[in-house]
Amino acid sequence: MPNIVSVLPEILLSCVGILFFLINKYRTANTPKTFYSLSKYSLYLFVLGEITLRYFDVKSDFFHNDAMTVFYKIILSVSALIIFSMSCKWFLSKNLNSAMFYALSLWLFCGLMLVISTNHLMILCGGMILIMLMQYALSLLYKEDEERQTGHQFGIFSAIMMLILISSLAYVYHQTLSWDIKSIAMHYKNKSLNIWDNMAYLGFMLNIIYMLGMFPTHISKIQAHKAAILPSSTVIQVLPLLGGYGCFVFFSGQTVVSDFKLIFQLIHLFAFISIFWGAFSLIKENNLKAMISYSCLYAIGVAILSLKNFDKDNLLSSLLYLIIFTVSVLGIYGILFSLKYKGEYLSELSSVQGLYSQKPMLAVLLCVFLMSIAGMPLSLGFIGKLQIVDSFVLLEEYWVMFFFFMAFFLILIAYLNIINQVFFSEKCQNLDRINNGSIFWISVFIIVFLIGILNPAFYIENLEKLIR
Amino acid sequence: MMINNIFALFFIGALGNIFLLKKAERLFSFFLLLVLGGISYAFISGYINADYAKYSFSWLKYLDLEVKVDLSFNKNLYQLFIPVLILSVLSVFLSVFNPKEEKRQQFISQIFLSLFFYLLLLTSQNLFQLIVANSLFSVVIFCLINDIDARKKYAFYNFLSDISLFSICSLFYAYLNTLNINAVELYQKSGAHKDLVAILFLFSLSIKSGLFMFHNQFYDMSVLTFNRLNYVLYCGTPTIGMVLLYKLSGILSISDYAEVVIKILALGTFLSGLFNVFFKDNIKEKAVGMAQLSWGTSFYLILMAPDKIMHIIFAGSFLGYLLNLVLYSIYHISSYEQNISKMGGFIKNLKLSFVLYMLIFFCGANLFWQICSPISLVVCAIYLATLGLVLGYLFHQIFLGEIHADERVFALLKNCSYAVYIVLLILGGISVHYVKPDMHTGLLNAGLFVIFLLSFIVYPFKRFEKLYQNENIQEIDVFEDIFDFIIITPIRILGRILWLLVDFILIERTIINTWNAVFSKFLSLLQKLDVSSLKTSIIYVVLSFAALAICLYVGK
Amino acid sequence: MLNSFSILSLIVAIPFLGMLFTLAAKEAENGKTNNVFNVAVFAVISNIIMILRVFMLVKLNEPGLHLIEKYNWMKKPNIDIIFGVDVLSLMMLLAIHIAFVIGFVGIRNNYKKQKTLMVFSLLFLSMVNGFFISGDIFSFYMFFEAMLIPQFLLLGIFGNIKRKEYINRFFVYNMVGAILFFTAVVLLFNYHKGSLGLQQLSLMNLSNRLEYFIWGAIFISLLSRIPVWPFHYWISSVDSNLRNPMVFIISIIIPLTGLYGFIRFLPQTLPQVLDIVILLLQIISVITMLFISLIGYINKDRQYKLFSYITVYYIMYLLGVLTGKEDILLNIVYSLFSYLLIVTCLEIFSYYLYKEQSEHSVLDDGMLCAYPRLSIVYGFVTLAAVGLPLSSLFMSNFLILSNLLADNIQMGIIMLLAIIIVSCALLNEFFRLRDFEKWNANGVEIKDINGKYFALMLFVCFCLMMSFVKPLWFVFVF
Repeated sequence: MPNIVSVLPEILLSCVGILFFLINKYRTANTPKTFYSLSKYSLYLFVLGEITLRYFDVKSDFFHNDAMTVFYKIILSVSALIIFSMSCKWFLSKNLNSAMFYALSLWLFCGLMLVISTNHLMILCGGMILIMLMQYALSLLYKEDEERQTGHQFGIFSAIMMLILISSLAYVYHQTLSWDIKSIAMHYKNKSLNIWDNMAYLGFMLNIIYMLGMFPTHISKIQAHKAAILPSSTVIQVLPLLGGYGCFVFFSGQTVVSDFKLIFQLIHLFAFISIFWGAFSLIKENNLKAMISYSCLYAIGVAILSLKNFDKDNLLSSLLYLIIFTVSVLGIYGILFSLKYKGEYLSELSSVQGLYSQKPMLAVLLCVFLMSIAGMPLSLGFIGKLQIVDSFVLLEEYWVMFFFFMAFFLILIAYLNIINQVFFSEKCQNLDRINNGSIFWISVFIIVFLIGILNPAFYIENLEKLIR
Repeated sequence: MMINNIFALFFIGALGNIFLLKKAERLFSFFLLLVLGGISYAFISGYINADYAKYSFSWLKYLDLEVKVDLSFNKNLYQLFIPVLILSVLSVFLSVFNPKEEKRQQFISQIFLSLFFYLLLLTSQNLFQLIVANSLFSVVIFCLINDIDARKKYAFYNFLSDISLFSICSLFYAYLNTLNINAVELYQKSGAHKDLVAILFLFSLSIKSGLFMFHNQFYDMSVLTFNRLNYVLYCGTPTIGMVLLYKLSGILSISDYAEVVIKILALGTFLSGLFNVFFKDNIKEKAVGMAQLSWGTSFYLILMAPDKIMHIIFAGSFLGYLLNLVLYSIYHISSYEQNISKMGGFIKNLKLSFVLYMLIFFCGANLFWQICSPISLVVCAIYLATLGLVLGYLFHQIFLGEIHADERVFALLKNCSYAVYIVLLILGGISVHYVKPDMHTGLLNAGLFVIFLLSFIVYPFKRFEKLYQNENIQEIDVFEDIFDFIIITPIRILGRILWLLVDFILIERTIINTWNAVFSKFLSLLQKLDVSSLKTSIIYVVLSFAALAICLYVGK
Repeated sequence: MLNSFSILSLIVAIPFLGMLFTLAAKEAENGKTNNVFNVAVFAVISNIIMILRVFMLVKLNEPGLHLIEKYNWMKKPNIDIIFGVDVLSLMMLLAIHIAFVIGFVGIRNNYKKQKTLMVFSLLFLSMVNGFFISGDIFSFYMFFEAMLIPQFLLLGIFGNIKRKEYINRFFVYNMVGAILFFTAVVLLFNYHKGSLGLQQLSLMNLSNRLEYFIWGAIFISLLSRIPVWPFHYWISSVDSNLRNPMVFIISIIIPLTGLYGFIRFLPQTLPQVLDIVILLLQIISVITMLFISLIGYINKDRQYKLFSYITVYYIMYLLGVLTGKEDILLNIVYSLFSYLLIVTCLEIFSYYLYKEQSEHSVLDDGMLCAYPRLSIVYGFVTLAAVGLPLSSLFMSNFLILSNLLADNIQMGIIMLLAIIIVSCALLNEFFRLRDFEKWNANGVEIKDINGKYFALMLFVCFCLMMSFVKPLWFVFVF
């Protein structure tokens, strides 16, 4: 019973998703806002439910319910809320039915909640499979047949990853006869590991990495993100990043007691490669959505690389960096949701040439968010960068720090190219009016930025309390 | 108090430059003349009454350095200042009464300022005050020169001179750790780079004083009005050069060859002046040539008797200014005719002026002889004899011979204005006051008269007249061409080479292009790896498993 | 949270608020009331008043920082933002603000994208103010890097630089310096376990390796701002092409930040191995000086001549700072005050002439003859620029030169040569502009600078003269 109670919010959410299909089928006077509103209230209820569960300290065998987990869930909820709000305007402007989108997103959200909070390996794998399926579905949303190829590639790759996951799951269960992650970890602690143990563990980690969108699994996700419609791209990129990180931290944190050191080193190598891959790829890229993907690749590489051990300080730095990055990326998405020309949303770099002459505030905000991702001082991202570099120094990882800065310069060169296009070009097409939703959320981000710059202790102390 | 007079010079000069009156300018200039006359009277009284009050106040104070401003007087300083003061008053007087004087008020105000900075220089006891006063004096003279080409050359030359002096003082401060001028003599023992100091000093001095090789800056000033030109020649930077030599005479002991070089330069100056006096057609250029004769002689005498510098400056400036004034009056009389070759036969209308000029010359020559002959009979004799020859040569062309002036000029010939007469008489009177008639005076006058007559009547230099038509001789500026060739052109070439070699080839073509090439290659390699296909993704996943396997195998 | 709120925070905040008000102000349309300009100038002048007020509150004779403000910014790592001032920082602040006023007045009639220019200029000013009032190394670094962004945007929008990669490279290599500084700051934080005051840094005794790295990183980062070879190339390719005077003024403040860093951070106990590095730096510096001065002399572009002048003097100040003597440091600060005003004035005059030239389609040979008022102030400023005793430049040049000539005569001579060449270049340019014979007005009616502008320039000339007589004369006056 506690197991069901502790997952009640997720169940409710998934039911809401099913409800969307029914409403869509049987109710005629539907608008995109209908489903948005339903999603919104569902998320409110979800958050309320989670807080209630935490407050009453509901314990279960399959799920953990500590402050950190609830924090992840709330962060994801807020992110989802922001994305849903911005997406609503998109659907309204396109006059398209948003039911499918919100349903799929909610289920993806549920999957993320499961993977963040579960102790049960099967539920974890189930959650991951659900996420992959939802991502696949979202990538195909509102795409014509000839445009679906990238989505199908993504689907096939996801299927392969699922196979790896299931194989790993089967092997582990066969070895340990247990589904509990902690028990499995303890089992492997006392055992000398063979190649298949390591392969199985790698299989799990690769799937988590796939959720994060990190090397070596990043290519198809980036392509899918690039090809999908804007709301889907946003969901595919942002939510699994945060959720995947939470899953990674928990899973690795549980299994770090085991002797999978080599795999952790391999993952750090992947993180290292991700940083440089993301940075280099940004330079030649001309599609804005792809640029965001590569930025995420870079950022997640940094976040993972800085997680040498799983102590509180280390975790604080890494998590703070990622959260700040997410806020910045959401800000950029907010700007992308505002860039319209004759009803069409713009995604190419050339389409924002001379943006400053047309929409100066938007251009400035884009600059602010880009600089935040780069970690320039007096932006929120600087605090994240400071935390990361501080952790490198504390861990005496000087060479890592050196390569981090090298990648930083590459990122900077790429962003300077964007700023060049935005600010220094004269040519600009007459963009459509910015919608109020985007203005609202961008304003919220700016307030968050200002609070962060003037009093970063406010965020850091609260986060620290949660972690400790 | 003397200090009030000193600051009055500054404030009147400054205000006079700022508040320029368009109407009643001449009246105001006359008022300034009276003021200057009053101040001069005060200074002369101070000299006579031996008013040697000390004025000193702290100006700048840092941790280890304190700079004071000294405005204290002694007998020598009065003797150095008063001749310049008198000549300044006379220049102002001529300016007020000359209807053709341009920007009269400004000129007079600048004279006030130049006198102030000259005083500041004279009274300096520390190096900082010396170089500040020197620089500011140069600035005032720069403003006084109201022709752009003359200004340009003057500015560049004096800038180099000032910065050389600046460097010398910096070195003194560095090694002696004091700004006291009297400590300069100690540099011989505790200083370094003495040859450099000597070279820089000679360089600075030569430029300031218009010595040989650096005299062409004054020839460019021949476009100024005669009064301005005279003021610059006798109360301007050449006098400052002599004062600097007096103040920093300790430097001469640092180097063995400094004195020799100055003597050579003095001689060169004298010969160059002689060349210009004989061969230049322009009357103002001849005046500059006359000044060169004066400077060359003065420097030579100063080296022989440094303690008598105030007398030498007095006598040399006096005589030189007087002779230039003669040329000035001829210039006015001939309706501002610049070329001597267009004069001639003026004696018909200017008999009185001719006699006056002769008398004035003899008065001045006697004064010079009286003061300077005890230092060196030979030098003084050569100088005065040369002057006699030169004057005879010039007067023959002006007063005798064929009439080359056009009818209008000749018709308007009249004796010079009362103002000039008054000035000439004042100068004559001063000379007579100082001259003591004796056997030597009589011999001098006789000798001079003979030489003058020889040159004036016999006119042995007749062939030199032909060179007046030679454009090369008239336009020649050898040293400007030399400086351009050995200094300016190499700088231009070197600058061009450096820009091409270092900036363009080394940085742009080599470093940056190499970096761009490497970077592009790396990017293209990555683009090949980042192919968006399913196959690539699967390969990477397989590679990761393979990497693990290899690591495990190697680990075992 | 804030421990004490005081005037120094206002000095940072006022330009920032001014920027916000400027954003809200209405842009001028050819001759109508220019609210944008008025608001911007008002903000800067208000700050000047604040700075003068601070001068009155500070005991200038006492060493160390005054009016300390402490603000706990972060607990992990433990970072306190400290603000404090002394005569060095105050002089720099005052000079920069006056330069901004001159710059704004100079471009008041240029309505193209004026709002953008004012907004980013005020943002830059705010960052620079923060930089100069920083009392701890962390805030020093933050503002050191933060000022690059508005500068980069201004260069790109107004720089008129044809090859945009120059600006990118310029920005990136400045960032290289900033990142090195950042690394040094984080290392120091962990070593010191908390905030580090600026003055504490020079007193610290570090272990060998850490010491080499920290000082090396700080020196390289500060040096990257100063146009010493090879950094001069990127700076020259950007600065010498700038036609907007305000952007040029902002660009010349960047090397000042590097120099200021050297003044603050020169360690009292320098490791011996760094002696060789310092010597090498001195050699490269004097060669750069000579090299730049030669190129400036042959280059016909007035802007490049000005750039070469700026470079030579900045390097000279750097050499002066490296001597480490307190008297010289103080003089350099006084001199920098005059230097900034001189360079700003020259740039504004140059811009005015360019504008007039293009408006009337005339050549600029002898152009100053048609502008008597401009000619007077231009002449004065040029004479002050070449080192005549018309500003505090004179004394500083004297002390630096005396030191260098004593330490190393060859370097001193090369430095002297460079100064002479660059001064001759400026004088040449002035005389070319004053050459009446070459002036060809083509019957065009030309108006001189107006009375108010002339009065402002005369006031600036007065400030320069007074700085020579008494560098802190305004303290006694106010």
